[in-house]
Amino acid sequence: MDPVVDKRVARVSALWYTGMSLAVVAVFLILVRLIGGYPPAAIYGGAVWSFLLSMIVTMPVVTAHFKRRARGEG
Amino acid sequence: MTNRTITLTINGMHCASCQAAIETALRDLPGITQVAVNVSAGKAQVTYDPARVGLGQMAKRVAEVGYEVGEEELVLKVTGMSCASCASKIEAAVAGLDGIAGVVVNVPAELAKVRYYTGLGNPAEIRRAIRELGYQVEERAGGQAALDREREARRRELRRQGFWMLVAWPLAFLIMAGTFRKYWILPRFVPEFLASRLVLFLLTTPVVAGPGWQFFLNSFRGLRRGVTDMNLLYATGIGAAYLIGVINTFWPTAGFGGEKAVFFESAALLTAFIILGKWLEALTRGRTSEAIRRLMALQPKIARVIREGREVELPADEVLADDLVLVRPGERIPVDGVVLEGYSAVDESMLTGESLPVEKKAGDGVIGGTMNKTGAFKFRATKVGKETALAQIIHLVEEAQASKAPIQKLADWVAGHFILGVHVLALTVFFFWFFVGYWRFFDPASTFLLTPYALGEIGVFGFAILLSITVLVISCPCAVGMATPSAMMAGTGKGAEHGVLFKGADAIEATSKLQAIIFDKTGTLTRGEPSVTDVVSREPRDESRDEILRLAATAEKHSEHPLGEAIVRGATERGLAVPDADRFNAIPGHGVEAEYEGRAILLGNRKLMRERGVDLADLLRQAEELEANGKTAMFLAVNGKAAGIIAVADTLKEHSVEAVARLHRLGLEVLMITGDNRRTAEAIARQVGIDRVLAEVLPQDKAEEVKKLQAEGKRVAMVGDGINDAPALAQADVGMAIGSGTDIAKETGHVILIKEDLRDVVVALEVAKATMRKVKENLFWAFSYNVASIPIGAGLFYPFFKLVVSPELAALLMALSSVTVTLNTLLLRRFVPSLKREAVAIRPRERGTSFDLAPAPAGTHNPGSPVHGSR
Repeated sequence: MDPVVDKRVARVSALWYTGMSLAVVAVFLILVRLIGGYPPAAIYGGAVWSFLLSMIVTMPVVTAHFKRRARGEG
Repeated sequence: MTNRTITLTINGMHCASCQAAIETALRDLPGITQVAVNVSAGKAQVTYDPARVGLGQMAKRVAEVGYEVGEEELVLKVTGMSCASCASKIEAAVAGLDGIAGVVVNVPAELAKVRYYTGLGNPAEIRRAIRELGYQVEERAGGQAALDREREARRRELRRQGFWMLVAWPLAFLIMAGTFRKYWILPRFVPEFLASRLVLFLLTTPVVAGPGWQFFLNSFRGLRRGVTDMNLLYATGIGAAYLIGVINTFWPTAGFGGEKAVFFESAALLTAFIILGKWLEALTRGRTSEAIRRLMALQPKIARVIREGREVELPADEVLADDLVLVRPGERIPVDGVVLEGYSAVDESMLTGESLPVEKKAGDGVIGGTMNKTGAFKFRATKVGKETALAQIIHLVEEAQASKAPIQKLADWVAGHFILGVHVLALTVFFFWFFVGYWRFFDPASTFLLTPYALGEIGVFGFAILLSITVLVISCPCAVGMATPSAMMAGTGKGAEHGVLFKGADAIEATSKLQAIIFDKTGTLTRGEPSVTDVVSREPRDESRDEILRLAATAEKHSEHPLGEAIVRGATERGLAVPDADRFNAIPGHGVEAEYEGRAILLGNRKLMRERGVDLADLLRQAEELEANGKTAMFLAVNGKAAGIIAVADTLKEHSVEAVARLHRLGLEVLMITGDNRRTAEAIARQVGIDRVLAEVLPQDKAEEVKKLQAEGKRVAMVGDGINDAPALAQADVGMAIGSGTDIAKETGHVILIKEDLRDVVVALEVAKATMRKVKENLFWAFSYNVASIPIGAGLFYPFFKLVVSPELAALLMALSSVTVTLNTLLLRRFVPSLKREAVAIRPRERGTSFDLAPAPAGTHNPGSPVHGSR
């Protein structure tokens, strides 16, 4: 892939998978808020763990998707 | 520019996720159109446009995701260099060759160090290129690249992981002892300071930062390229356990479970178990490819060649076609060739599976890599380098081992999506236990499975993340990914060991499912040349039968007709002297007439006898019987009186009857296809025990007959000679080319049987079935393990038993699961085809029973009945 396109794909992908992971964290925080009673450390730890796992899940999927699009494969 | 397909050797792969990582990374390069990675074989088959992408870029990309393209080093002593420009000249010439990764020439040391990609660079070409520049070049003594590159890579991995085990295990034991100090009898032996969280931190940190660092590094490299692999599972598991330990050590009130939820022992043992798993895997995985290493080890290094009238020793890969090569007793034959002088017995078992040494005399072919046993001989090299049978076999086995079977598709898909799936599951498990499970089911008295360690004050976050980590660690995509390729590698190797070459994993799978086997008649079931099968005399005495054969042979001695040649051969093989006739006259289309010692001999068909007024009344019934069995009956008259009959027929090959019987025992339908008329074909089929005959089929229609059988819903194999029957072999689900000897490259078909022994069809079937059985066992185990272990790790049974699988136990189970698959595959090494098993029992009996028979006659059901039996 062309290095310029490669960079653009990486940038767009990063925006998407970071956004999606933050959305998961948002869901986590909403649930924490709804249920209530969690110690702050558990909330921070849970948010970080959720973000980490979500990044791991979304990063390859989103990157591959945008790479395919850039190659014109759909 | 046209695309090119190459096979790269990739080091450092462990499981199917590694495969996915490399495939993704390579596909991203411009100009790469296709990538197929096989973890077990450690190979990547890449189709690319050389104008757009180079090997160097591919190697770099593979390195970026944490693996390495296999390279070899060739160190050459180069003499005749005088200055730095010589060095740059050589460097430029070598760098321009295919498959070169780098070249450095050192003028003062007279050395050229060339790195080339395994399988792509050619040492002989490198040497030639330097020689062509006017320098002398020779292999530096002791600097020869490792014969077995795979074993070298494996050894490196074993050394590396072995070293890390030495670091991880003692520390992990100390950490475990410190963590569980207050349990059991440990207080008596373990000093108190070892239970200190700070000491545990100091002991765990080197484990995570040393042996565990590779997982963080590799997962970072992968993530940077957008690919995930097993390293990520390990890194998240180890990292999370360690981080929580650090937080609870230095900030115990932060709310992550406090002082009693220090997971240092988890982080340390997790690392130690994973390293153990990797070490065991490296130890066992290489053994599945032992066959190929054994084949490689057969390649002789030195050849004794006559050049300019002198005997010189050369590296075997420098022998040229038409060189005269000398071989002494106990030496390996360096290349393929034809014996010119001398006599010896050669052990070819390593290539053909034939257990008895084969006699070699002038005119016989010899195969490079086989072992000369008794005498010395001189031969002319006919095939050298990559053309030799051994090189072709190695290439074929390597290609087969790098290929994928259809059954692997599902496993590949599962393994490829496994890592992501497990992370999604880990997130779900975390959410469930964080928001629901902990509050509803948590019991502070609950313990880890197989340990007395109570979870105690672990908080909601600590409990949820613990189960989340366990899910990550317990899952084992490696087992799923390795199940099929490891068994296929062992299977192709096992086949090669017995002279059966599968051209791909798909050939093994297809062979295991066969329902019908079609044999071509001429040249496959039969020898393809006529032989004397019966001699009938009007006088029922053995001597008179010998006399009939002798007279017939005398009459035919100078005949060029195939039937005449068969009679002369038959007499000679019977030990009869065949004198020259005094007068000889061929009667085209009818027979011959001759005169010998005053007797008029007439040999020919009925028509000839009738024309000459010979009364055949006494012999006609026997002649008809012989003809009904597909034989050609020739009458002999002496001095105008009928004396006897000589029957000639195409004879069955030695093991045809046994092979067909064995195939029947395996439950296969056996068919014969031939262009012969139905009566002859059915006679042969009866003798060999075949169920169904496809007679009067023209060569070009054989493929059509195969197609018809397939239309009946049968999975069909066609066994024939690989050149003449090519269309039918290609049409069949499995085409088996038999008796190819050293001409492997020319063969069509999916399976190549090196020897001309039909029983190898049975061997091929048995090897394929055993391999597929192993594949299914492995897949069953791998899937069952994951299906059972992941829910347990996720805490599915926690509400009932109040037990949690600790991450370290999860790591142990995961490592064992992966190793179990490889060990199960290794059991295939013990596989022996039924033929060989039974031969051990039968051979002593055979030694006591010999027959004076010439070739096994088609006209006799019992291979032991004599040629000269009167009928």
